[in-house]
Amino acid sequence: MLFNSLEFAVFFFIVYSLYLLLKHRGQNIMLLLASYVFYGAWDWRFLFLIWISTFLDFFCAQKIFRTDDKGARKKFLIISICGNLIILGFFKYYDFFAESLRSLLALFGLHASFPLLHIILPVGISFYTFQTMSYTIDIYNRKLPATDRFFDFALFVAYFPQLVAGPIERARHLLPQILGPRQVTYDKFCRGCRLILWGLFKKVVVADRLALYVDSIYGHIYLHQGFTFLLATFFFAFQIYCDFSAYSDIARGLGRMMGFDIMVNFRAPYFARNIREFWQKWHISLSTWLRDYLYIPLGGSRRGRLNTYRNIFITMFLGGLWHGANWKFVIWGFIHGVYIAIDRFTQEISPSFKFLKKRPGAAAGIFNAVFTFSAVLATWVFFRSPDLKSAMYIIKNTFIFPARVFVGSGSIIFGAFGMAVLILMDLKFHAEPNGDVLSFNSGLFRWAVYYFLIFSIILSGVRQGEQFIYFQF
Amino acid sequence: MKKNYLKIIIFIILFFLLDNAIGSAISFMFNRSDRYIPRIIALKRPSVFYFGTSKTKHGIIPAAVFRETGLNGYNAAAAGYGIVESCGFEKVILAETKPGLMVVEAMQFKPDYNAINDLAPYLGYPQIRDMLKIFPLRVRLFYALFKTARYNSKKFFHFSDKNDGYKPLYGISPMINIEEPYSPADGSTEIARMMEGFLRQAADNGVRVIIVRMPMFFQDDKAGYYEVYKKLAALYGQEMLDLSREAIGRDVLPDDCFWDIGHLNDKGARIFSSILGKKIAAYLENNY
Repeated sequence: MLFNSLEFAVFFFIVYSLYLLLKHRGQNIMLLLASYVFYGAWDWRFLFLIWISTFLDFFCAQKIFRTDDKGARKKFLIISICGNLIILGFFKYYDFFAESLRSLLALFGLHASFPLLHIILPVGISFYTFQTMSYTIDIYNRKLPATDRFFDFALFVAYFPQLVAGPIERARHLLPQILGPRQVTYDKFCRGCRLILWGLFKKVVVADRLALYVDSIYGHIYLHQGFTFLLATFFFAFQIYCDFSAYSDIARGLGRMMGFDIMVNFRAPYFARNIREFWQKWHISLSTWLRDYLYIPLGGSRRGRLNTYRNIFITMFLGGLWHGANWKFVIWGFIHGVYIAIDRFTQEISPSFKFLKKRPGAAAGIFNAVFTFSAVLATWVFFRSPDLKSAMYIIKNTFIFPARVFVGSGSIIFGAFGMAVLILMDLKFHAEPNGDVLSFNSGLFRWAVYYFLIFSIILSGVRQGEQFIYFQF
Repeated sequence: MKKNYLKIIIFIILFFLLDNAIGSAISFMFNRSDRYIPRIIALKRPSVFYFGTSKTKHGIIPAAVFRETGLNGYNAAAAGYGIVESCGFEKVILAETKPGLMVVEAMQFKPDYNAINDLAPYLGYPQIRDMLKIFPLRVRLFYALFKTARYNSKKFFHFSDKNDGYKPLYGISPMINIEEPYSPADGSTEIARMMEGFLRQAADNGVRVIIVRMPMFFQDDKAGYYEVYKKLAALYGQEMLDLSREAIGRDVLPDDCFWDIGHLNDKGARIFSSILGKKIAAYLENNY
């Protein structure tokens, strides 16, 4: 059930109508059932995995919270983390590790064969396992009391707007909103609708339109060369941004309409002036998760320079692996790790150089943003390519002269139009980071923008029911 | 609270008013463009219509065929899988005129729900409305609810594909069969029946049809659906022309005649259209 489908519109209409009629307890139970229906519509068999995760973390959190015995607390934390990682590892990474181990052993002349299971990846598994793990870890760190209300906790794990592609919510933020009554106001309703409209525009006008070009190039890599790859990768950078941030926006919008406040996941990331700023603006819920539950527990930057760099690489390596069971994602994460390490190093040595101490002006800011974007662009080649070999082929064959560009189809003009609108909106968001999306002072202008977006969706949106890219993670 | 409800109602009413106004404006312009078939028929009275996918859209230049045959033609091909659009366009054409000849590309038997984009401007024709049942309910609802949806980007904001000169690295590419073999088991039988309906309707109206196998950079040698076209052509007494690259000679259509693996570029289209024109002329000479 895709957000940009009629089925979902009907589903949400029913859910929202019931939601408005029910009281708080009834709302939560109804939302829980609706969330299971929503997830079951993908594949009902994988509902069992959500239930296992829910039971495991609810039980472990209770045990951790109710005892002061350090050993017992640690034991239940380990049970929770291992349980979740086993589910994730088995369903997402088993074949990858089996194949990698076989290749590794073959390097040493040992021939082993591991059975490959070819398991279908349960949609959204990486999102809800990380979300539920954060709950247990927070209880262990005494940052949060464990809840006694099982069904409310189950709703925290399975809340449908952000279940399959995030944002990865924190228990500290979402759970209190579930436990307490929520207010549905006209203002929240409007703000929710605005987020949904903006998300739909990004998905069907920009992302799915650019995908037509990107897929035609990345689907036939060996038929192309030169700047065509550059153009396709440039479009992919916007496609993935719009695709993923659209899902987050729609999820936030749906939540907002129901009185929930779901965290912001993107803050105009392509305007970042360095790579660390990029990660503060890109997939914020994952990057902060990795920071809080991996980088800092590893020691963060507190145990010397060498350990800091080690921690950066471990975090980015696992961040890459989180995206998928493929070496291309690992390389993607590793390159980002290298970028962050270089950025950190230059910042460390900057006090020794006068010119680096100077605060950059506007021109330098633009240069830095373009430079950062270019660096990020290079990494998308690995992310989008079907495999490492194809990525290397693209890198080798991008700067071939004379540069011939495959234009493909006039439909990219629509993608470019959507990108222009996106950049304008992101510029506004960049200038007012705490501002609401599509919030303009003039009511007339605001309505004009609404109609402009709606008719853009109808007139130039792609309606082929494309899945959101991040579902596969 | 009442004020807020009023705002929402005004927003919705204004939306439908705007939808109607924009839809009417676009339809006004579209119906006066050279992409609206009834207008083309009224103004130019074409005697040949070309139906097919983007291969035909890019590969057949009616003016080049005219030079060989003296027959005025209109290229009514659509991007996509093509059969549904072709059947719809045929109904519109036959409702308006009786052409001398129809040239149809041998297309894959695949359903294409985007076909409604091309058919939507003709929803005024009852024959087209009858065809709508093949589209899913959500698609039909969308087109029924919004007038602007009938004239979306694909039809109205018509950008010509830039197909002059680029060829996809011939020589380093592996052989790829980009076409699926035809199999009645894959749910395509309804579409195959639709193609049969196309030929039957033409035969009922006394219109001659030539089915053409279009050339490709790599010929889809596993495409079993050509055999189905051969049977259909024989059944309805129509002509089947194999104008694949192999049949007309790779030296006649060298690699630099292709825009990509599926489509001819401008140079290729001129050469191919001339060949097609000669074949049509010979066919007409032998049959009339």
